[in-house]
Amino acid sequence: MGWKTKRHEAHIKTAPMFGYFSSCDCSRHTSCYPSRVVAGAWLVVFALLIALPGALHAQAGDSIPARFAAEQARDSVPQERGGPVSPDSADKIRALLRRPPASHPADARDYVGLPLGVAMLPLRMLAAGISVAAAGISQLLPEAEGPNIYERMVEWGLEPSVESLGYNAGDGIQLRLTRFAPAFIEGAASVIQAPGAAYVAFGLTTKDRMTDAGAKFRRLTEAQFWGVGIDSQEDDKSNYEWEQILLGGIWQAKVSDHLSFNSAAGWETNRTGPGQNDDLPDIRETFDPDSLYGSLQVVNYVVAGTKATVDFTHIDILQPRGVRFIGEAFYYGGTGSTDSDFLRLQGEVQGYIPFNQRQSFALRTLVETNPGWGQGVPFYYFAELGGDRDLRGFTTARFRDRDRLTWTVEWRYEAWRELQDRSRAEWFVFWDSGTVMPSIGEITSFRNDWGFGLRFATQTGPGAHFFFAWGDEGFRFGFRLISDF
Amino acid sequence: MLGRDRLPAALPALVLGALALSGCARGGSLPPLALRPQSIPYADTLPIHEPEEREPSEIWPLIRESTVGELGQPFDPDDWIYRNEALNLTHFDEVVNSAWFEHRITQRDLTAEQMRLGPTSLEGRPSPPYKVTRLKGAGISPGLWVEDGKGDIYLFKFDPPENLYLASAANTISNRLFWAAGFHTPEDYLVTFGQTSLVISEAEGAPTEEEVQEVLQKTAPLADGRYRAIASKLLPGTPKGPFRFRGTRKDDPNDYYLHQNRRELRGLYVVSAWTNHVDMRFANTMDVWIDPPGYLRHYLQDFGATLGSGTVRPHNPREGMEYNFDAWAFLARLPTFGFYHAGWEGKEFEVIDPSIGWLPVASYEPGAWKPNWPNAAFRSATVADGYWGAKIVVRFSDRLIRAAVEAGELPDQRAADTLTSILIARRDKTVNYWFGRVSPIEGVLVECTDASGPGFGVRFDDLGVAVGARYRSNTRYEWELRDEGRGRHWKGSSRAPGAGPARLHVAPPGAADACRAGFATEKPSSGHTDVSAERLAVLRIRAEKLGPTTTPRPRPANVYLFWISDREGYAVIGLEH
Repeated sequence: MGWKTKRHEAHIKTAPMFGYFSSCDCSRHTSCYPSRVVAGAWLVVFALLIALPGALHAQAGDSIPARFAAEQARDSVPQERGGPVSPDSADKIRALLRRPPASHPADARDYVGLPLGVAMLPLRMLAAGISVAAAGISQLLPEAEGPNIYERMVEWGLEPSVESLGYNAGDGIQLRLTRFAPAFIEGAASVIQAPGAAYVAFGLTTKDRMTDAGAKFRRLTEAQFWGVGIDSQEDDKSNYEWEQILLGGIWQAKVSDHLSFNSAAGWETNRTGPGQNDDLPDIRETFDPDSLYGSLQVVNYVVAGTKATVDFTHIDILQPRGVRFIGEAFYYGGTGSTDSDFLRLQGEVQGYIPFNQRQSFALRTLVETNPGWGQGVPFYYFAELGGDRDLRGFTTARFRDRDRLTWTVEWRYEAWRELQDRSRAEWFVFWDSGTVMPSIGEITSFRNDWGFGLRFATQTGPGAHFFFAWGDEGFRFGFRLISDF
Repeated sequence: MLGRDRLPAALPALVLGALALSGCARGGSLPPLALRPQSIPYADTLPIHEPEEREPSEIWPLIRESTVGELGQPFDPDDWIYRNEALNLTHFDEVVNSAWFEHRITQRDLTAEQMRLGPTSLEGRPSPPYKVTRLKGAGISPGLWVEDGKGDIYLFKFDPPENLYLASAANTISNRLFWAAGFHTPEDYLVTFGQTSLVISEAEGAPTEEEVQEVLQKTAPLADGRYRAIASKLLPGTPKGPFRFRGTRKDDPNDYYLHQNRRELRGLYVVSAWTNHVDMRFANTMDVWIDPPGYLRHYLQDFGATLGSGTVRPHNPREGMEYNFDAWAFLARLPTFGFYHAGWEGKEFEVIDPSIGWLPVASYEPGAWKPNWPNAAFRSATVADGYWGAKIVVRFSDRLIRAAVEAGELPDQRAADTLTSILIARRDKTVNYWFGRVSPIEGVLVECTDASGPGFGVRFDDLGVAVGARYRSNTRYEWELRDEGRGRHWKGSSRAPGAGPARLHVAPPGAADACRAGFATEKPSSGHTDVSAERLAVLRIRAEKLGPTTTPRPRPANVYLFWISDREGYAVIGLEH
């Protein structure tokens, strides 16, 4: 195909004229680069210096006087060159060069583009957020440049993690100092869901981390409350403060691949006070405090109980499969002046039914009852419904009562998978339904919601996710860094 | 990608196509190609002050390209109205030799031996003993830095134990192909050696025996107990950090054109697609300080993730079809509840051969191919850039491809034959695709003027016919002359001739074809400095296939003509595809 030009050959022929590259063997293509490149650069410089003035003064005659001007100029480059071109003098040459523009000039599109770009900024930012998580920044970090910041922190003895802050609160960022093991100190604060929720704890832990013993101080300054029952009114939103001190220990035991226990025992004291959110009324203004046990008095309990998990699930290339049963029984016995004892019983079933490797159903149902004696259950220990874990279209702990029944159906399908199956993201659409009631036999109505979200999963199971949910009190966006379903 | 096959990306274009500003023809508000200054050979090799070495983070550019770059594309007016053409061009739509690119296969016939050697030389081959000076740092493949018996420094990289030959062969072959295509590449050699050839340096910082053994345990010896590695020679100069495919390097005054506007980097997409170089990104490039005279030369390096190799494993069928994070595919799956499946999804695959990996032909779509990470230069590419890249690819004859594959020293002839066949088939698909998107005419000449009347004859080579992308018998040329200075606006069409170069009789409707012999044929020239818009005419030629076709109409080529009044005729001074 004959579209070869002669210009390139001209450079090759003239290259050896410069002394310090004359030893270059131009029959060997590799080693010729320096000579060609440098020779070419010099040729350009000389050609321009010679051709430019002529070109500028060329008459616009019919004989095309400046035709091949550049080529002619190159051909007439003197065989001797002056002193070397320095970077500074090269700047002057570069300024003289007539080249095509380096970028496209502004035009009508810029006038359209600016407002459009501003309008699209939220979408772009959302997209950036999604992909930062999806791509997994850690996977982009060079592997051989030593441990990353997280690993360095853990190695030093400071472990960041995401933990549940417990009743009436969502998840929080926890930092646990283990540098002086077996002693530990940890603290956590709410990320988004429960402003003002935090705890600090200290104690001792075993080497295998299966047993902790110590003390914890937990405080919620703006816990919210709408009243009791599934028909509680949205307008009755109020707030309170809850302080709690716990002394005791937890013990974890993995009996087999399918059976594990989490047990706890200890003593706790609870006190409530006026909520610190001035935009909301205090619960004592909105509700009769005599009807809310725990709102006026300090309540002390000895606590003992266990949570058993029978797990027949497994992760098959990032996709959970199987079924998991979780049962929980905790006894709260009032001590001192506390005239209250109650039992918290909870049962949960989680099922994962794959449609194929990329799509699956996930089902979850939970039932909870809190039978009590004496003054019964303090209002802040009522069963809760709403939040990022169940009935997601409603605010955290939006509904409370003694008992609870809820279920969730999710259709999960893959959105993205890391090439070596180390992580993936999956979309999910869901429908939640649930109710709270004084006792299981007194169900009056259910609340429902639906929505969709995105969940990230690693080889150890599902993790951070966000969702958009719609219930009959409107739209809600939620985000969790951990996933227990 | 370039094929604009994505529906989401096409929608805004459809909606706002009606708003396309009429003045925004190809090239926007820039003057026509023939009226612009031309790019200057080696202008970017003038001396500069030595820049600092830089190792900027790749995370944010990758995230930016994956999200804002990808998702923002349909909302980017640049894409709705027209796509900006490359800027570093000559009047004949070509690039000149520079610190980025050197015309090799495009301007001379390489021998099989030259192809086998590529950028390497016989005297440059590493020779034992190999003194290990340190362990390889970045990257995913195991490796050692080695000083050979001559005192030259090489990076030895090994194959995964399950796929011996895989990465080393792919690296060597692609190294030759990219070098021949015109890009600057390091000298990559294949070496086999016994453990006795390895000695550990006594210098400070050298690895221990155990550390070296640990590296060797990540690969496996060949049947004869020797190890095989790719030995990449230290680049000739001082590394100054990788280059990006967007923007310019601020401390390099020679770096004039925005990288995404460079034809070589846009056209690199085509060569990358052909060779399945899915890892064509920042991390696999390097700016090297060449002193004297003191400028930055821009290298492509590390070809381990090319052809069927994913460096430490065979390529996955997803690679080349979807980005590592493909924002549009990601979002497209939401409303389909997971029932939308791309072609590669959910299909079991078997590698072609352990030494070849996975390199598809049937599912390879040259315009829809994607690297693992979005690349600003690739995304900016137009069909003209694609055609430019395809003109490089078409120059790789079967013989040269076979020679390049031979350089990879695959374990048996069957594997070499298979890989050669695949590369040939992918080349043909690549060329047919891009040559079908433009009017691939070259070497345009004004052949004669009419004895009576203002008409004239034009001759050109139709590369589409030459490479077999179209048959002569079903090729038609549609042309349109616009010469405002002389008030000429003529149109016409003709069929391709049965043999020889294509010819058009450009004349008013009804004029007889009466070419006057003896008119001095003007060679294509780009040296006209007195060309003004009044003396410029544009002959638009569209070469297209007759009959039903599933591909879009090819873009016409603009032939720029200069009016020579004393000869009453035109000369060709530019060509744009």
